[in-house]
Amino acid sequence: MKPIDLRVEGIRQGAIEVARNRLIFVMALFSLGFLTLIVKLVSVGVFQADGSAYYHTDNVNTSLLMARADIVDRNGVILATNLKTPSLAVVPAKLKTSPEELAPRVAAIFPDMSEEKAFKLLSTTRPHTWIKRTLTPKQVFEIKKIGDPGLVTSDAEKRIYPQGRLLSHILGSVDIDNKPSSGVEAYFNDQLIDPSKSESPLALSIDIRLQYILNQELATYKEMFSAIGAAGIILDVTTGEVLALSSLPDFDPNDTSGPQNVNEMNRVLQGDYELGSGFKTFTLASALDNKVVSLADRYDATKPVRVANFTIHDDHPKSRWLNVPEIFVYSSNIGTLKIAQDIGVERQIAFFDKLGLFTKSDIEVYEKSTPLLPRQWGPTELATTAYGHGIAVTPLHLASGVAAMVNGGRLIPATLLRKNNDIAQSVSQDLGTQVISPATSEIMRNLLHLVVEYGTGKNAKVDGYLVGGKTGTAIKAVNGGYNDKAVISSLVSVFPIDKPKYLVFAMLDEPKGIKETYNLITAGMTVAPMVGNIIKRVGPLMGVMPRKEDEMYFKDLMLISGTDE
Amino acid sequence: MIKVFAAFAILTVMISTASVYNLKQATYDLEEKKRDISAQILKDREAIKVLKAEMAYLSRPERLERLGRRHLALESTDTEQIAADITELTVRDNVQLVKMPVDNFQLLLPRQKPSTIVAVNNPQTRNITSLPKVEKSATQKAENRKLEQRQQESRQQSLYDRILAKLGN
Repeated sequence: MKPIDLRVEGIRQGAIEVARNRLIFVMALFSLGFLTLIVKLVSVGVFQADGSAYYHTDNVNTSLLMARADIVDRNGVILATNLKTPSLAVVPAKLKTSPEELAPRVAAIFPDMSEEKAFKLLSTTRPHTWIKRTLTPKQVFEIKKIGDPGLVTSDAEKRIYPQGRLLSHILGSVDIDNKPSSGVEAYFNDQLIDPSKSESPLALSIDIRLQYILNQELATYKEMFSAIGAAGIILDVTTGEVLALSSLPDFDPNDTSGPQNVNEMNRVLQGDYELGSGFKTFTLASALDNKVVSLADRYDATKPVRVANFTIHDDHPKSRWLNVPEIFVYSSNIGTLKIAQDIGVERQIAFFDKLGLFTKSDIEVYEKSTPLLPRQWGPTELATTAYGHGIAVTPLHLASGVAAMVNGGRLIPATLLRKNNDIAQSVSQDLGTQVISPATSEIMRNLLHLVVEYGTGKNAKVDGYLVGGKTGTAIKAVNGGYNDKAVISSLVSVFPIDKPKYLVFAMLDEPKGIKETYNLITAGMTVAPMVGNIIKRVGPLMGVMPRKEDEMYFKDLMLISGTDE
Repeated sequence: MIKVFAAFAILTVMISTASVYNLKQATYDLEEKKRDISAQILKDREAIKVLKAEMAYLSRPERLERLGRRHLALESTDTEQIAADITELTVRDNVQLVKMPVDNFQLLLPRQKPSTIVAVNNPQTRNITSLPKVEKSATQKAENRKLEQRQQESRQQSLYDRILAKLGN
């Protein structure tokens, strides 16, 4: 079959041409549109491949959001945690049963709630009243069994301190609405309530085992000597980490009311005390570092000295000339003040300032006090501060200072946060300011060792460990005067003294004499045995190896002046 | 021609619609499952938190000491009982100490019992481990050999399995 060639001519031809052209135009438009689509499709699919299209974005949250993050000790033991605890409330508008009928059934569930009290709570006029907070799962079940829509259980978060009173002064506490009132809880509040850090606990430098040992020994000796208070601290002298910090009396942080009276303050950080002979460590280190005295120098301690209007005695009088190690070992006030007089006021002030004794410590709590300093620095103040009177600092100041005396001369600010072990190695090298030379620090270590071996700290001796320390028995200032019967007995000790690692400070506030100590209340009789006990228990726990032999320096030097002991 | 093409297009549309619906439903199901699992995870985490708190409460040093005193016939160690190293315990003066970190020991792997050790490759240790040779009957030996073979097989099997499992992942 042959195709027929149709041809329209004339006026019709023009009309067909127009229609065709229009068609082609529309076709071209459509083609262009589709072409753009194809180009876009290819470019998206091939050139701009979007990887995220293959993954479904995570919109379901599996992280447990708590109002406050946990606090753990250096080994990860939980010290504070938030738990969801159900609470029971009553909404009277929704009650289906009368309060008279409901009261006995509700009271039966809670053993500590009387029927009258339950009735009073249930017949409230307020729209929403709490009946009981922190229910056990069984109690929730029993409430649900009653089945009244007016009894509403809802989850609230409660801060739990599993260790009880053990860390009350460090952690502080929170109130019923989880608002912190003191301690680390208050200092790190912003970090603890940060939702993005909800699952990363705050790791403290505290070791719960050491904390327990310290707390227990303090409690035992506080009871034994009927002291009004006791305080102690264990410090890592190489890093400045506080391993244990305890102050008695303490409070239960689970009880939301917090510390009740001034006696429950944190004595280690808030208590300003004239700490007595512990300060002789600083005076002597300053003298040795400034090359004012040498170890063989001798001072006249035959009779009490008058400075301004005061007569200064020795507590353990030897009534003879003493050389420098003897002054320290027998804790001679007279010798020390004479050394201080040789140092001079300016250098003494500069040294105390360098040790941070004039300012608040940097430790991470808000409750810490500024040292009480003498109003002016005259000859009297120079003499008294030399042996720790007339200047009141917190025990932490003394502990940090003594740590610097023994660790090679570096003053490392005490911290409550765990330092990463790997970092701590490098950090401890450059962190901290050099306050005395390593050589002076070496001498101080040996002098402290002598005190425990032969001097006032004999009772702190522990078989197998090399312990160094300095006792301090300071008469308490009461109402502007001094009262002989009220003393602060303290001992700051370091072990192992040949390679210092741990510093143990313990203090008893107003110990009373007992028969076993011949009614003596000096630190050597009251606190020294306690520190000995603490070291005996802490040493093996922290892997400090006992030593067989004690190496003693300057022992011969001490005998130069012919001691009659 | 056009009819065939249209039929094909319609079929394609139907199939793709069905598969899209199917896919969507499957995704929805999976998401629902995921939500369930997430809720379960949250619940479990909460429970774990409670258990951890309870663990901390039950392992308080004070409680452990009390329980230890009541149930264990143990006293606290004295410093005399701790020795820094072996030299403190012996009167011999030619004690040589090997400095080896405690955690440097080889991983303990399951081994054959000493009685089945045939030969020790290391000549040094051969001198030391002079195991008494036990006379065995022929049947016992054959049994032992079989047992060994089976053990070896099972070991190879397990290794093969493990490789397969690894490849599968």
